[in-house]
Amino acid sequence: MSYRPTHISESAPTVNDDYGDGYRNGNFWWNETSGTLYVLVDHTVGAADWDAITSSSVAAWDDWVATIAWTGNTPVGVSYVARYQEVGNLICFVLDVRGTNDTGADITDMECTLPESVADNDNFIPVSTYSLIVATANSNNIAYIDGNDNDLADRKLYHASFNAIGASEAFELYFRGFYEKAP
Amino acid sequence: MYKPTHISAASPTVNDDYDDGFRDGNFWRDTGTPDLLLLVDETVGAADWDTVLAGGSLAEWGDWTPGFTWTGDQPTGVTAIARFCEIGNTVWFTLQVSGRSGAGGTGVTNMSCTLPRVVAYNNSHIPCASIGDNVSVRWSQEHLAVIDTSVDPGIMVHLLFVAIDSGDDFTLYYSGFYEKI
Repeated sequence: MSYRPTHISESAPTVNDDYGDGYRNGNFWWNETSGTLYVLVDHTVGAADWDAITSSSVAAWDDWVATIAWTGNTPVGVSYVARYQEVGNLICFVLDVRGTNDTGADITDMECTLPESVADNDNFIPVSTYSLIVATANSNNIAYIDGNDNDLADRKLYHASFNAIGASEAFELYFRGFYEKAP
Repeated sequence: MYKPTHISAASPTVNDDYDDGFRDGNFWRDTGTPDLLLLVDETVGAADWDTVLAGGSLAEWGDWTPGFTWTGDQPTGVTAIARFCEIGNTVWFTLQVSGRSGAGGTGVTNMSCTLPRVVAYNNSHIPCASIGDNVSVRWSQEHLAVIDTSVDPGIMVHLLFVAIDSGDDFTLYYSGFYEKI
């Protein structure tokens, strides 16, 4: 492969973008999709180490698809606004979920996926939250991100306590938080 | 030998110059700090490297060692998981502290904690998200944790603290961000 000081790609480099592929320590990699520039600090075959050093999209916000699971009952007319930004391995997000319980049982809990994978750092991360239930604001909910679960799919947003939503009650749930992204 | 970017665990010196093969426009990646530097003057014995990206990898998380001060019964078996990252002058952190309240009868009545980087002295209080959990008071967010930037160096303190009964196992959780000095 010919010398290339900066590789242009639509994706991030992997551990296999290494010496065997012609990369050398000090080479750059530009990910056009994320707008991130990487520098190769270890070109070992099969274990290449690329450091992300800057991003042209710092603080650029985007939507994400929130997969919400409910306990007790499933509300109707659920809509949400889910926005996040990614800066290196930091994810900041806001989430606004609205709906109405039906005439059945109370909604007693809710959990939700997050925009990017959560690092397994053995930590619970508090999330700022409040709710409006039948237009009454309260801060009784306690939401956190579980960075402790060994299963990547289970490292989501949970509630340690949840203000129950009664039959036919309209609700709005608001969240704001940040977390360490899985490498 | 041509090297587009030199990788090193240390910063360049004035002697990392033309004679060592560096040329104006070369980069130096200091994996220690980690910074990215650019050679703007290759003069032998007077090489001049400018830092073009301070803080290196973007939002790379790491551990830090918090220093706790407890009020009331001193807890035992205290462990912490403390993570942080830096983006320019912004420091983002999460903290999880576990232990057992001392058996003196008073309980743990307050806690303060150092932070991973020196806090800018801007004379404000910065709210932190916090959750407490112990045997007697399950899942509480009645703590009011703030970063007090009116003291030097700034630390995390509580304006309100849900007392932990003597002998109770507890875990406290925090997340927040602040301006670095």
